[in-house]
Amino acid sequence: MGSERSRTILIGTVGAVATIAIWWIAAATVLSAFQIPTPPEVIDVFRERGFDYYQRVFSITLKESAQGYVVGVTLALATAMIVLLVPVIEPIVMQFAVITYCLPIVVLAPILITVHEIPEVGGLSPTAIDLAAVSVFFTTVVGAVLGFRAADPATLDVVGVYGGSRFQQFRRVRLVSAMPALFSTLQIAAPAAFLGALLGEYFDRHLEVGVGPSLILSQNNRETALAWSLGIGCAVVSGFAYLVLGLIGRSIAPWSTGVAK
Amino acid sequence: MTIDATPAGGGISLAGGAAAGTGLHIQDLSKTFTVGRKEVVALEGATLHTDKGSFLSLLGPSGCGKSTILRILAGLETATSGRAVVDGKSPAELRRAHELGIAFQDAALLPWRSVESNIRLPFQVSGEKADDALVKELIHLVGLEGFEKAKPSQLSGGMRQRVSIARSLVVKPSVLLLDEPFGALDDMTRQRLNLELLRIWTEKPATTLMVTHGISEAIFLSDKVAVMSPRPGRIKEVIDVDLPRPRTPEMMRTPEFHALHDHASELLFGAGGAAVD
Repeated sequence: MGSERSRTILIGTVGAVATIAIWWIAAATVLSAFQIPTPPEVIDVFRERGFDYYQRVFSITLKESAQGYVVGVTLALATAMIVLLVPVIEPIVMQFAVITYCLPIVVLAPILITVHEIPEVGGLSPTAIDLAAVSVFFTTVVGAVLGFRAADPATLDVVGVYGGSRFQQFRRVRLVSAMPALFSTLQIAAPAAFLGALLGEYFDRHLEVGVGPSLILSQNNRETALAWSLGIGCAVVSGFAYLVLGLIGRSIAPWSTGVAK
Repeated sequence: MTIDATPAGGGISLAGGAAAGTGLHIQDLSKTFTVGRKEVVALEGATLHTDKGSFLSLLGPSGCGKSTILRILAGLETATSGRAVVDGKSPAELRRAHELGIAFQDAALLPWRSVESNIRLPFQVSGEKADDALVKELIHLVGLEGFEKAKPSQLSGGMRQRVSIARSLVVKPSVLLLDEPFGALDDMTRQRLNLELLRIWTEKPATTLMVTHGISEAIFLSDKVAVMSPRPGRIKEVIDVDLPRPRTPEMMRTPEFHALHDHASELLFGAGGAAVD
């Protein structure tokens, strides 16, 4: 176990170092004509702008993602549950879920922006929240339905024979046996919510503070190093959310599958 | 519960209860499944009667519809035509009255629940008050003391099946349905558990229907053995097992037992037999 863990850490470190090295060398040589900043240039921007700047900007986007995530996931789980309890409506509901997935988010943005109030300075963009919710809805519905369906049919039969309703089957069997699948779905949804919120901000020109407005700023002022620093920040934030949900899922999986540690 | 055909009674006058309306009554039961555009007859005109408190086995090769009969009685499938009642009650009524106990080939335990909690499940599902004393007694009866808090993954296949048997008895069912309960176990464990099942069933009698493809265990445990043939599933013959109760393993070596075994084998494997293709 110990050696395997240290090997993973070693491979991870080597990979990160190699990536930075390739980026640095490429930016300084073959790609020098394309305004690609080198790692020290990006670090300089981080230092110039300061931690407070990033905290202010990211906290807005993160709040939007979190709110959208909660709304989207709640709606998706409720939808999945209804599909299981009332199977007749499944085709209609799934069709609706597919439509939300096929509809490009870019099309939704202008519609939502005109519907919503203009965000106040330092406030959240309602459009970003909505887009975060839409981004997680479909994958969560599909993941949850598949998870709920993965329950052992014989245990469902047992509950039925003892007079249990569909709801009892759901509560006593499906919900717990779906936990591992559910958490991997929730894990994938976290970066998706962040991306949705970011897109909403990018389109919502009335929003003044947030990662989206800062990206537009860097684009307008040709500050590529700022854009890179924001990009790295986004990756760190999304990756962190993904990691935390993964850890929760991993602590729950042994319980729901009954495998002793 | 008053049972006139107690296991010790010898299981002779089995047809007597049929008119009284108690016991298991299956009349012209048929089931047709639609697979794509094709219709598959799983069961055709099955008729069976047993007394209350007797043990009936359905014996036959796979695809003979024996599990279909059990699943119809459990309310898990609906018959295309015909009637299946126990003590005058339909499967749906039996379910609502919490009179059914069931065990499958796969123990079908919830992996996140302990042994004790799995046995309690029927109470929680039916909304009845849990009978703690009975749970304890059943754990003792199936020989799982000391394993109350163990999870199914920590148990052997045989132990898991014992939990499943205990669970099937916890609501004091008047009808016990066993779908190849020991089919997935090795032969030695299977024989041992058959002996245990016999002992448990003698202590907690219920009208029992067991589905199996083991000739010996069917004869050893049952009052009646219905031999079935496949495509379409039909009941070929019902053998009355007139071995006295209580039954002992020694009986399996008697000429009477061998005669019954041979008769069942002949029905299954003889010329035009049920299992001959």
